[in-house]
Amino acid sequence: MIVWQNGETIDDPWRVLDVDSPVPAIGQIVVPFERIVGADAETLLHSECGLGVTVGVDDDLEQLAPWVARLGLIILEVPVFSDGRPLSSARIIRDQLGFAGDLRAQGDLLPDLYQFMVQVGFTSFAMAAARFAQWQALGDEPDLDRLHMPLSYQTDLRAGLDQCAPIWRQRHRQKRAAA
Amino acid sequence: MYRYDEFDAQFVADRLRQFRDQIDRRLRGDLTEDQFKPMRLMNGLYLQLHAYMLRVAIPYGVLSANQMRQLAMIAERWDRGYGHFTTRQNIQFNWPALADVGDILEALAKVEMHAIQTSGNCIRNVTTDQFAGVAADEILDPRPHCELLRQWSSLHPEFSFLPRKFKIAVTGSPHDRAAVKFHDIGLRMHRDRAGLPGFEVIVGGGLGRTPMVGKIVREWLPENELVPYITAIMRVYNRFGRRDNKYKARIKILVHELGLDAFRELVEAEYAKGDPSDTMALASDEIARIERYFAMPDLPQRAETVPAINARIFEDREFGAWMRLALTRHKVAGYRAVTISLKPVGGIPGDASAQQMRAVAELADRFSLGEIRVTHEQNLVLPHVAVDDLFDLWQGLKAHDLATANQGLLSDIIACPGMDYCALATARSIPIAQAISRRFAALDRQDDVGALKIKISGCINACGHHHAGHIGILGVDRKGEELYQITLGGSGDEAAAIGKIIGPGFLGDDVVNAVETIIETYLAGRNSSDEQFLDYYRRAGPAPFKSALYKSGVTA
Repeated sequence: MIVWQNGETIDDPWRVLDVDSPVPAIGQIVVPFERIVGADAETLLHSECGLGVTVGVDDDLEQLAPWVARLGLIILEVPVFSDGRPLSSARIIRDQLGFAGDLRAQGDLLPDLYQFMVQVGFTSFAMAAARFAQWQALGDEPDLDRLHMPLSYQTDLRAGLDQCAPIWRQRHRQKRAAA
Repeated sequence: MYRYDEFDAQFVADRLRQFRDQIDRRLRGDLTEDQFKPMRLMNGLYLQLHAYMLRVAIPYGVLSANQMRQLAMIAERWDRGYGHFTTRQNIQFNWPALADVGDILEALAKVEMHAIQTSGNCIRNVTTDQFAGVAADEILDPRPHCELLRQWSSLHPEFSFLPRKFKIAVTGSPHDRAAVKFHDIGLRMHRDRAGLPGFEVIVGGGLGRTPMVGKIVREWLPENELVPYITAIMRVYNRFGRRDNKYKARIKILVHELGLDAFRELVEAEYAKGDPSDTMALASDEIARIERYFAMPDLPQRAETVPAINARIFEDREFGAWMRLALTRHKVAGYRAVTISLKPVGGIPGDASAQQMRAVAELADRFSLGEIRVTHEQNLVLPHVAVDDLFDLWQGLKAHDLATANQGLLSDIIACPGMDYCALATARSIPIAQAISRRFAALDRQDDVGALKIKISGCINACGHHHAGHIGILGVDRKGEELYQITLGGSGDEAAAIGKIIGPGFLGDDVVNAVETIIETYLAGRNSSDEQFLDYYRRAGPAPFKSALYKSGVTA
């Protein structure tokens, strides 16, 4: 699995725990969603570990609310790139749950959707090595210009805005600033 | 008309650059067809039965004379000299080569046009009343909000991979000419008691294999809440719409399965969670900016009645008929909106040759301030013609076979491209439309029948809107034979209704006879010529039609 963040591949500091591995004393661990709503929720809540969670497209986001302050990483699974649900989940996690940590998309990621994923609030991207080759085919370091990301009607990424807002935000902010 | 500023122009240019790159990657094999498909679709490129098809957006049906000339140029240079205007106010080119598509899109960008989101599981071209801003009966002009929605929905990061395609239509008149109740979201603009502008929000309408009339999810939405409220609807749909079955993925199925009340609760709860104040304030600035582009042009009032024109009506019967059928009342005295029929006898509904496109552009420059509209009934409109100029305009149209007088009558047929072009079709539609149009070519006879909407689809996906036709015709494949089911009583206006199947289907050669039988039954049964076909059907029901159609054993 390749993890890509801020324009480069990184050594992922997070260790993935499966459904029934014991919670270690220290470290940064990622657990499946069912564990934070399951029997060892209390153990996880009070452990000394850095905590992340992997959320599937069918999981109930409302149940994440009490965990947001405790979590350093939320991974949203992307089963197939054409499934747009994680794009809405990301907005809810950022805007409504107020999560400020690392929000990761993981799975069937196409470089062509990179812009959308950044706009809705994703900050890191995890995918199989074979899939990452497709990103690399576009250049040594996938960046916005190499990916030919258009100035979107929703937010100019190159202007450093990372939230989704229609083109008129730029248009009228500039005008208001000039006035 | 709306004009691009530097933001719009940059967006379209960047989008083109990106798509050219995607085409190159596909041609090199770096993208698989499965990966390329959603990208080409979101740029309007389909793979059809014989070739690629490029569907170009005509946002809310508004077109300038210069844009029309560019469409004519494209038709000649990269296609076979014609284009096809669709029921969604788009134009389709049926024969472009993949290698030319980048150049075609560049030619479109030069006149501020694009093919973005004319296909794919995203928010499609927003459609409206072809007489928006012009019709005498209009309450509010829907075009500024259509433009706002165009910008808002273009490459929306959250809503570009929906369960299925998504269509929004807006009307600002009490008489619905945009079929808003048959859209995923229909918006009816009106004013509240205090005179403030806003919307009735209708959701879950649609045709296709499961036709449904849309339901009111919000009776009153203040104008400035439009974008955040629609965002809430889209988010509920994106999260909970079905993705397991393509045929159950439209929002109408979600609304139907949840029930309207439960759906409404989800939307209102989602809406209540947002803090839309910033979006709303900036959207208000944007609406004010856009509205300036749609101000009524400076049209000096003129005489409503022009003796010289009236004299022509008596002298020339053909002109008289056209005057009776082609005109719609304008907000300004002495002007008319003129509907140009793209349904000549025996023609292909919605097709226009490059030469005809140039002629319409020329006439628009001379008589309509360079403005043209495209209608969902596959006709064109010149929105601002002085009564004085009508005879000259008619002569200009006649010279290019564009003066057909059948607007709103039996031969003003909507038809999808059918099996002559479409990969999905199970039967041909165009030859059926042509045969009906030839059978009823005599205007006297059509006139006697009066207002009648015939709509033909070549498969169950219903692009020809057969469910909404007073007479609907659906072509299906039965053991290798084209069979046509007839429905009666459909309507796409404010009293929207889904037509009901009248009985067993008919073979292609028998469809015209069946239509004729239906019409003769109506003529024999109506109270007077004031009782229109749809009124008669609603009064008399299917029984007289059934017995007339099936007694003689013409069934397949």
